[in-house]
Amino acid sequence: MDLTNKTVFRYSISLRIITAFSILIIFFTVFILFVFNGLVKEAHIKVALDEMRDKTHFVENYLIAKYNTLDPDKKLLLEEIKQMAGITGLRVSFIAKDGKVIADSDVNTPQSMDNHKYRVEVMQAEKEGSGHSMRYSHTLETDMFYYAQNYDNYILRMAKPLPEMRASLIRIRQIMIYLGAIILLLSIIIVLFIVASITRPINETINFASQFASGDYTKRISNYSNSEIGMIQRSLNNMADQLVEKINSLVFEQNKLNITIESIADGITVINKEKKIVIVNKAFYKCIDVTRIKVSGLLFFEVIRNRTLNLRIEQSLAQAKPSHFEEELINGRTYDVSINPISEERTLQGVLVVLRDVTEKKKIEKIKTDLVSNMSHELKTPVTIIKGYLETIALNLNNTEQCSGYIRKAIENADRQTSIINDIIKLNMIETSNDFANEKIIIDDLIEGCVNILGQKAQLRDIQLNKKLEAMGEGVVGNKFLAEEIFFNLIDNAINYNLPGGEVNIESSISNNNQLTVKINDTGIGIPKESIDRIFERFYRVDKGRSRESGGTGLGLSIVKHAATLLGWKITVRSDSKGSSFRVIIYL
Amino acid sequence: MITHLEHEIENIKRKVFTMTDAAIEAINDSIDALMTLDDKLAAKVIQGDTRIDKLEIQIDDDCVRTLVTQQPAASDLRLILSFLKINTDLERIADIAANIAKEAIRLEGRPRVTTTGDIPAMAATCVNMIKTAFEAMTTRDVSMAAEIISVDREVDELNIQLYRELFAMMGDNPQIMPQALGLIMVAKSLERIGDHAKNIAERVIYYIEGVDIRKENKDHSDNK
Repeated sequence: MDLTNKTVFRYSISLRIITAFSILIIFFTVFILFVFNGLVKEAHIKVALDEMRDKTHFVENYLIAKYNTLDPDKKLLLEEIKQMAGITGLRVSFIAKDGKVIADSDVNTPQSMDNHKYRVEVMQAEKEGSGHSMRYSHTLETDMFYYAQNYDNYILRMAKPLPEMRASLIRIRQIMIYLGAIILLLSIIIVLFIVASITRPINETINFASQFASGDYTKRISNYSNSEIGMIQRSLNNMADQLVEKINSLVFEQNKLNITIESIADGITVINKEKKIVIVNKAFYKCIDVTRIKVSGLLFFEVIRNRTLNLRIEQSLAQAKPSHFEEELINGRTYDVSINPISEERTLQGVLVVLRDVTEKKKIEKIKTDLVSNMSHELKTPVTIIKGYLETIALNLNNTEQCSGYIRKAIENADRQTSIINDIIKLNMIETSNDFANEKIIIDDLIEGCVNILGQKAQLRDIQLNKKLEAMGEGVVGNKFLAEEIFFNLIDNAINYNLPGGEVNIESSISNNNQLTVKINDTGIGIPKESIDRIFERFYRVDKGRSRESGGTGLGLSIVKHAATLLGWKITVRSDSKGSSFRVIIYL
Repeated sequence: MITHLEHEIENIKRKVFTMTDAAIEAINDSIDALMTLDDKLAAKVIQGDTRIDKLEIQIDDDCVRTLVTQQPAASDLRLILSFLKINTDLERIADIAANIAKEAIRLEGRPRVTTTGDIPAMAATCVNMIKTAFEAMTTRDVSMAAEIISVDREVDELNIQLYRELFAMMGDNPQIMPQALGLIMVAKSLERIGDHAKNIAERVIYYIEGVDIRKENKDHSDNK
């Protein structure tokens, strides 16, 4: 497109200039030709005229010398005329006043000749005394110069062919045409050169403009020309610089926006009123579980595979109303969905859909509700049992033996209630209090103490307690109370959830990278896979019936976890059907 | 400028995709009901099936009306013809999901038999097949649709594996007979959902390329 434009443009400029020049040159050539023509003619005529005049004088003198008169009679004239023509080398005629030719040097019978009265030179001679004229003679095929002189009785006319004049005129014309042509050619060359020098920068400018328009923002015009075009080029370059700056800043803003949208963890998408997805971020792809296709530009219901969400988006698009709900999407996670209509000048442009992952929040909520129901259940059970025994005792007050058994059981349950409440208080204290003093504690001694306290219980259940502790010269920095809670509860659990005849192994080792690991393994019933994440929750019980039987409060591991968090220790669990293994990792 | 035909096609498309969502929801809910033994959820799936049946009739009507009044050509024609068939497949999928839900109710809270073969994973594969088939349709990606046909074989394998395992377990412990039989039926159902998803993928290929892939496969088997 731009190529044809350019050529047409160049032709039009040079053509116009060349046409104007040509017309001017031709006009001047023709004008000069005319002027020269006239001058040459005039010069020739002047020369011829002088010659004629001289020769007329000669004839005059000759006649006077010979005949003593200017007016001899016809016969003499006829005889003499040839002589005179021979001497002068001209055609000589004598013409009567009425125009009849009396004698003519070239014609023997002058009577047969035309009347010469109205010949230009004759008429002029009659009027002014002498006259001349130049005519082309078709008979002789040459220009003839005539000169007439008026005398009393006749008019003497002389004629001379003037081929030189025509020849020199032709020559002049030729020279002029050659000259004109050369000038024309030269001027065309000059014009082309000038046009080229004008159009080169213009073409450069056009090239630059079209390249810039097609997106090559690095292009600039390199050489300025010194003309007005140079100024245009300079300002164009300026404009280009500013444009690039503007574009860059816009691109930067756009990128900033994109990065912001991309880095938001919530799934975000904008759907226009044609139901097409216009803006979408990475998180949204994750929400709708689309990994292989690009969704922008597609209809929203083509890619979102959730009936409720699609229905709500459809409604929001139709009614321009916001919508807020929770929904589990196809990737199995629960999202808090908010759909907000985007309006501009009161017309709906589309909707903004924001998906916030609330799966974890939901889980925590569930834990909380579970906690309340579990706690009330745990606290209520002993009271119900105590009440049951007391009622039985009230009915059977006489039977002391039976009563004492019931009372023992009631006390057992009251103890249980107390230990639950104690554990709750302990847990609450660990959770809320921050002032656990740092002190030197010796892990070996702590574990030794716990084993001593729990040894009796283990013996009762026929469980062997083995310990293989690495000697720790210096203690570690920590809080004795918290550390004791951790080891006591872990060893207590290992005993409680063991099988009769089983064993509990307590091992400690120091690894290279300055950490002390205490392993507490049991040979018990193990923890099912699906429960392993939840055992640290308060009152969580893997098997509701069995654990109460084993005497736990349901809070032990919660206390362990919180105490470990406060100390900056780590607890890991591994479990299979042959038993569980808890590791306490202490960073020295 | 959207033509009348384009408008009609978008309308049908929307309904087909709604039906797809409903079918996927039915599969997920029925498997959830089976895994958590949730009678209410199962009942919801069974109830939802009637809505899907109604939608199927609507889509059929819409397709036929568009074919007659708009006389679409080329890919538009193939799309509508594909929708007519996909429609039936989706309806069958929803029916099968309802059957799985009925099975969940029939178990009456009997503890689930644990198997190595994973029914939820099988269901997830089926859902993914359906989802991918429609993604292939929207992006006109033949290779994506062709993959689904090979995934169907995996589902078939899983079904056979589960069947063998459950059969062996029943021999060891006749008490679990009702649950195991139920699971065999569910696995079989999922295998059939996989088949329908494969059908959908074949229709997608027909829509994109105008070639019935079933004919080609038949030619291949004839050569053998």
